[in-house]
Amino acid sequence: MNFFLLLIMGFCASFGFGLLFNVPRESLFLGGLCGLIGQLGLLIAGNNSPILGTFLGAVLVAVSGETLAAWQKKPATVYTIVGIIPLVPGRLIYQTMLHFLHSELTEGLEAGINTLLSAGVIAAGIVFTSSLVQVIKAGNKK
Amino acid sequence: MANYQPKSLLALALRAGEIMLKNGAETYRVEDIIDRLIKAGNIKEVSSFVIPTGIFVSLTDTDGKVITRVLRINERTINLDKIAAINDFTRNFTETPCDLVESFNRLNQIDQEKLKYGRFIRIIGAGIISSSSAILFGGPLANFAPAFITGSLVQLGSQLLMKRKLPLFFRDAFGGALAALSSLLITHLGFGLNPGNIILGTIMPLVPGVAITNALRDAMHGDLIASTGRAMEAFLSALAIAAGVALVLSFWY
Repeated sequence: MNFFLLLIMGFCASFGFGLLFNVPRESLFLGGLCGLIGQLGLLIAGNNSPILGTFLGAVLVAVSGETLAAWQKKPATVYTIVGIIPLVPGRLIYQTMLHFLHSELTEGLEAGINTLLSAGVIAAGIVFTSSLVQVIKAGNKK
Repeated sequence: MANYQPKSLLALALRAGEIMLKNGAETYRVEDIIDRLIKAGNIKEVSSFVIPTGIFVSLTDTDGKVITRVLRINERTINLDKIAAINDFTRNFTETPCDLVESFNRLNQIDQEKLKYGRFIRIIGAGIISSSSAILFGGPLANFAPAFITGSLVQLGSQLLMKRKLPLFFRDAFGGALAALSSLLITHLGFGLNPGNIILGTIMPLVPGVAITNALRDAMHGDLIASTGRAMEAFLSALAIAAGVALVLSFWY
């Protein structure tokens, strides 16, 4: 029950950001689905290590984003930016600064490192997948 | 391939790059669009350099003359529809020769397009983000409705502030303060269980999670200057939000 609830919440968060980021109408629902897929990755692998779950989620979002982009003839960013919403370290970057404001430097540094780490693995997941897609596309053309 | 006047072609490419950058495209993508548009006009040598606050393009035309232009960018948001539109535009332009004046008009049209979703829908959207984020962060289901209300309220407030051209830092701090205040009030009135969770959910539409991720993406593409600039911006905006929240919390307790 809880599992499915969290998946739906992932969908909602991405859908809401789709509205704020002015996503084309026909991509709104699909963008939300990307968020659901990202949340799925986080839930599958995130129990042992949140960073690993974030990476898996990012790769899944990127793969589905590239697929949808090829199908809908849109740039992949339209789907990936919205899809990574449940993974993105928004809470962490805020907590980093909140700790620093309360002069809790050690906790702040810890949160800051986690922010950069999780943003880093999301970026890595997306860059890795999109370069792979480029290589495959180039191979098909030859 | 069509032969365009290099100066006008450069102006066109710069305009397309400006729209991309203003609406949150990745740095390497902006450079790629500019290069492709210029190379469509039979120009072999072009070099573009993009950072979050500016675009620099230099090309050598067929006579060997060098033309360089610099453009300062002041505002940045995320608008994925416009990025998709410029992408389509570039594909069309490079595949079939077009009239430069007509293409310029098309770019202006893309730039001036209004947001697809009206104010009210965006307020609802922010409410959805806040309420679902509160649940995602382990909050009880009882927090769903209160977070929806506070999230919508903060979006309404920042929309009202947007009209006045205030500095970004101030807007974020105000958003954080409003989020904390409304969350504390709504739990004080007996809705929702713990204010901390509702505050976390409420600030999610403001917080620069996507911005910091895009900064790291730029770094991985080798755009190191652009990446540090974006990371700086993200940490500043997080600091502003945290300051707003902390200020209200210190007065409340």
